[in-house]
Amino acid sequence: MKKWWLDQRAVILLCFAGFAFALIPICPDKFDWVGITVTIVYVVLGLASWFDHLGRVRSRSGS
Amino acid sequence: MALVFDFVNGFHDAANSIATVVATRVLTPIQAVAWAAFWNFIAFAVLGTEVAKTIAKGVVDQEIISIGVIFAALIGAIFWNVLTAWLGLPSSSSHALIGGMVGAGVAKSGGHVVLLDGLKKTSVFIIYSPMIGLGLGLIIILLIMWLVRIFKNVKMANKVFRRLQLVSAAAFSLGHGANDAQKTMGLILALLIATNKVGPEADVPLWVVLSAHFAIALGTMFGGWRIVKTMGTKLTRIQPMGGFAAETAAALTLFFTSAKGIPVSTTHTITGAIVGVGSVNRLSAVRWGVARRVLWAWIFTIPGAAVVAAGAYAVVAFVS
Repeated sequence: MKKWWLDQRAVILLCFAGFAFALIPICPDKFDWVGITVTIVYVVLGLASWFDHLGRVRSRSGS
Repeated sequence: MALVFDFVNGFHDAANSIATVVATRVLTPIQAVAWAAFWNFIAFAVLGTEVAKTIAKGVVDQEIISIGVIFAALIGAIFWNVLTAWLGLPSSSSHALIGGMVGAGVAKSGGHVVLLDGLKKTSVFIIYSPMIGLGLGLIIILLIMWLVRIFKNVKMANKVFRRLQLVSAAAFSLGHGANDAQKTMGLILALLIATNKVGPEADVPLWVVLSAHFAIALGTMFGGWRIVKTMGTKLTRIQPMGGFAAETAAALTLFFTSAKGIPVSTTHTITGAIVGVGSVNRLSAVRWGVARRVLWAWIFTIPGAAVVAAGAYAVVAFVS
């Protein structure tokens, strides 16, 4: 059964964040910052997507 | 042979930049390919030759590069491209080329000739470039949607973005020309260094730069109008706003990687950007089957092309 609080898009974005983070040790030193930035951006996008999902669920159940 | 590889690249990838412009009827297919070809060619004046230097000097030790190595690398890359096209895997000709150089180099002189820093840079950005494209695509489309909500005029916005796609398609073609033409330049430069036509520290000669850009632009002119139905419609349906966002995101990614000398797949970058734009409304809008095939292409391309190139080098060495 699908859980109301679960947002598939947020899960995927946060998985991407984890993936980007896991690649940082392999990055040449010069490009460490790219891995860190990509990770942070995906965490922010994932959280934003999740909050948006929760907001939509609440407004639907409220109406 | 390197220039033919470049021509085929232009032929094959042209539609990535013009699909949305044609789909939204801003330009006819012929006008669109001419537009893309022009920006492909102009790229030489804008984004430098750092990627070419990475290919020529940053993948395998320059000392072992010979005509046989470059020939085997190209055979490996071309064979791998044909095989994956037949299997329906959207593989990258850039990664195939790097795999080919590694395979041929290792077959000639052993594993120690591989320059790990250059290979690491390329390998990591195989994954990062579509991810950057995806993230930027999502951010740009969110910004656009926010602006449209403020001005409350969707019809006007669509009209404006239909026109703006001309700019985004030009930017993407510029990035495509810069990153992809430079891979061929890199091969030719490696060959010129190997045959002592230029010194090891030499920059890319102008005739190499011009001929590589000319070949990719010519490929675009000849191929684009036939392959208009592409990523834009295959991966997810896209509106003018989405097309603009995806192309801009991909172009920014290509500008950055080209400036830093990182060879990336232009196809995977625009694919990531399209997925990012498509996922803004609902994930089911994205055709995940195509995205999954891109993932397999990531994993297999460098090793696959390397094995074929190693085999090709063994044949070259046996014959000569």
